[in-house]
Amino acid sequence: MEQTTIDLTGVVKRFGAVHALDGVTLGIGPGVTGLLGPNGAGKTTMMRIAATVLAPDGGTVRLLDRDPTDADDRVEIRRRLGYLPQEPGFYQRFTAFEFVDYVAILKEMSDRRSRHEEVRRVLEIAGLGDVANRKVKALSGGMRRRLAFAQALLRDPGLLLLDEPTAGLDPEQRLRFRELVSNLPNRPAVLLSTHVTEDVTALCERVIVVAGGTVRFDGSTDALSATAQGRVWVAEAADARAVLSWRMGDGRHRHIGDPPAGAELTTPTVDDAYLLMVGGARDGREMAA
Amino acid sequence: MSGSADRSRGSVVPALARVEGWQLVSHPVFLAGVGVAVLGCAMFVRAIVAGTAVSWEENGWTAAIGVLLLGILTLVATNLAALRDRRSNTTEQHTSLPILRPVRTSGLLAATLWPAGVAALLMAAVAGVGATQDLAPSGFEVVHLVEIVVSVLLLGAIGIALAVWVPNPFVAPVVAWVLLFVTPGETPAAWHSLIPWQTLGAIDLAAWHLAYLCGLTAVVALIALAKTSRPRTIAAPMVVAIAVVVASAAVLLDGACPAEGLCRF
Repeated sequence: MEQTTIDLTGVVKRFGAVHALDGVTLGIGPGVTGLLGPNGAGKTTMMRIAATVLAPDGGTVRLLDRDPTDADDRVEIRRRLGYLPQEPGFYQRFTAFEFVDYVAILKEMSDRRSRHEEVRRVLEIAGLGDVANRKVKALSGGMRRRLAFAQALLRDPGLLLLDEPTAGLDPEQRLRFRELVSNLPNRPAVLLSTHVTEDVTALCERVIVVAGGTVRFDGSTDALSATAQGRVWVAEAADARAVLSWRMGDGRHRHIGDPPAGAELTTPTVDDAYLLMVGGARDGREMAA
Repeated sequence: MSGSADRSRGSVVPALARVEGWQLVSHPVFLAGVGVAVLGCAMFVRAIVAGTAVSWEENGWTAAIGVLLLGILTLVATNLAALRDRRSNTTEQHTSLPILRPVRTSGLLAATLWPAGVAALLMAAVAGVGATQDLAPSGFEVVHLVEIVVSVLLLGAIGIALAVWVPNPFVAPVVAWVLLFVTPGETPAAWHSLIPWQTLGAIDLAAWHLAYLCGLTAVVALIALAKTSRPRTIAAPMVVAIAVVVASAAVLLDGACPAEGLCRF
């Protein structure tokens, strides 16, 4: 397996006057990497470039050690790619089995018997074996999300791109999703774009924070939490000097920012660090691992 | 591209055709067409069994109109199938897959054999009833049956070509409506033989009309493929298909004098 599955160097993507990505440079290898960032940060643009459905305006991209601008390489990348887009679509008249079977054909699985075995396998992994013959339009939102996940798992991809896979899932389904991702066979490179910091903490060996089209942080979840060390405190009353503060269940207030002298500091979480970083980004401040 | 990859993509077309074909013939729009076609064929069969069917030209129009409607609704169904990604918001996720658009279009074009097969079964049933009753009306030959089946293929290909070039779901129903209601008028004329859903009584002319239909179907299919294929892949077959259309059209225009049994179908 390649050391670096996604390799971006100075990648730029503009939509009109908006710089969705502004000189992004990073390398992603095997294991689960989380991509955190606020709405409009450039996460989905990065995912779409990695999925070969969008070409950058500048910089270089290498995926699975191949060049996606070369037509033959692009096809080879797509053979080893699994992609769950942010808003997956479905053929409503198809059954769950027929839909995944159709995607399997588009993944060049022409032999009917082995294809059907593979379709049954990924439906079982996604916990949809019992509803394989149910029409897509009759599936619940959570089941459809898992169906989209199942199609991304076809042929054991070397690179799995999951764009907000837990959006709209209830807590039980989210936990089940974590179980699915952590038990994937052959340990593919997984890039998980999400707003849910708990998913990142639970699943990711590495986290990348993107804001304003640039990478604000790249490191482990522990290192991300550590960036907020000494900048999170609790107090009986709200403090206007905090970048962010909220009232907790016990009636006290948790603050993020530059603490006043003598403040009661507390252990920061990934949430704290992320909120501070995004707030800091808005203020023009940079943070590093 | 490696040879094995090319072979792999080639073998995807039959797999796609099987899946798309099943989806086409189980589509409600197509099933409505089957209902109308069965009704039209049943009326003709009834006339055959009752011994009142004199000739294909005189009495076969109910079956012919029924199958024409089947073809028209096949056009709508193939158009909807070709626009499925757009309607289902699956364009992005399917773009990330290795099979390219021309292969998918080829699979869908091959899938039109399924509706054409249904039309063939219907027409064969009509012919079969005629044969078993020994009351087969005159003027009904195998070539006419094949012409009708190829007409369904042509209409299916038109639906796909429309989706490729004008990807709007409202276009196909309008085109279907126009095809259904634009008729050449009551006064016979030689150019009427160029209308695809026209059967010609004389066997030799019917054979030329069949060649014309096959050429036309190939031209439409290649037009559907042209948008996303390499021009050099399309050019040679397109030249051959156009040559067949032009040559057969010339013979038809020369030979299909109204007195020689031109029959609007």
